[in-house]
Amino acid sequence: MSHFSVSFDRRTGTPEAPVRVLALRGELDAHTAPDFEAALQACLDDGDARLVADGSGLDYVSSAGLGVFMAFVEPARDGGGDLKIAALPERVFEVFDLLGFPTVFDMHETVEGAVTSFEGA
Amino acid sequence: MRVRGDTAELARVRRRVGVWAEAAGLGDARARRLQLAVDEAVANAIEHGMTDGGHVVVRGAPGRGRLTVVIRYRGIRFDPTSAPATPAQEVVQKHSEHGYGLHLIRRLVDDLAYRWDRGTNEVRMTVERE
Repeated sequence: MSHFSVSFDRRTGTPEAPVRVLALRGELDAHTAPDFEAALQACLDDGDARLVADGSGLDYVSSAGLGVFMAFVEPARDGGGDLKIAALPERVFEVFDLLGFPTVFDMHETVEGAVTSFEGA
Repeated sequence: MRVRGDTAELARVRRRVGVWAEAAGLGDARARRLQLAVDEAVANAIEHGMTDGGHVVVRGAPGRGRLTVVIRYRGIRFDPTSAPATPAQEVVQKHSEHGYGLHLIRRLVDDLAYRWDRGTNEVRMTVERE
């Protein structure tokens, strides 16, 4: 069984640009991708479109996980926000990079950097 | 190893491939490549290709300076070596949600072979030792 969790109760940023941070932990594969999908949908349903995925606790990602990121980037942008990706460990970043995801996503080395990049956007 | 038709099994498959990779002397980076490629192929079999109630057999076959993983399952015929794949860049630019698995498999392994044997798919993935 893959171990994966996503917590998304952290709101940060500024009053003008509140940002919701989703902290990912463990292995994001075909079995656990629906959990991530549900979390992102819950954020959008709450009216939060400025989203940062904190990947610092992510050990693994497969194409099923990549597909979830891709499914939500446009809805977030359509809602006036974005889905930014932060703090991926090198071994996980490699998979995103292999498929050219950095050309689509705004990726940051730190969560803080991703959060502040929303300011004035 | 026998794998039930349930994506909950994928973590166990990855761990086992990791054990085989270590025994075969693959470095961490190459072991990770093979784990991901095998995960993609087995996930694809479970989600799209398998006959209901079936299972996937995954076997490690170490060779000189390399490790091959053989994946066998009965079901819909699917040849990853010849299946058409939209160029990865195009899939990404279209923001597609699917279609990355095949690209990953092809990029990750040093050799990919396929055989159809009377209703059984057999995929062989090889990664060379560094």
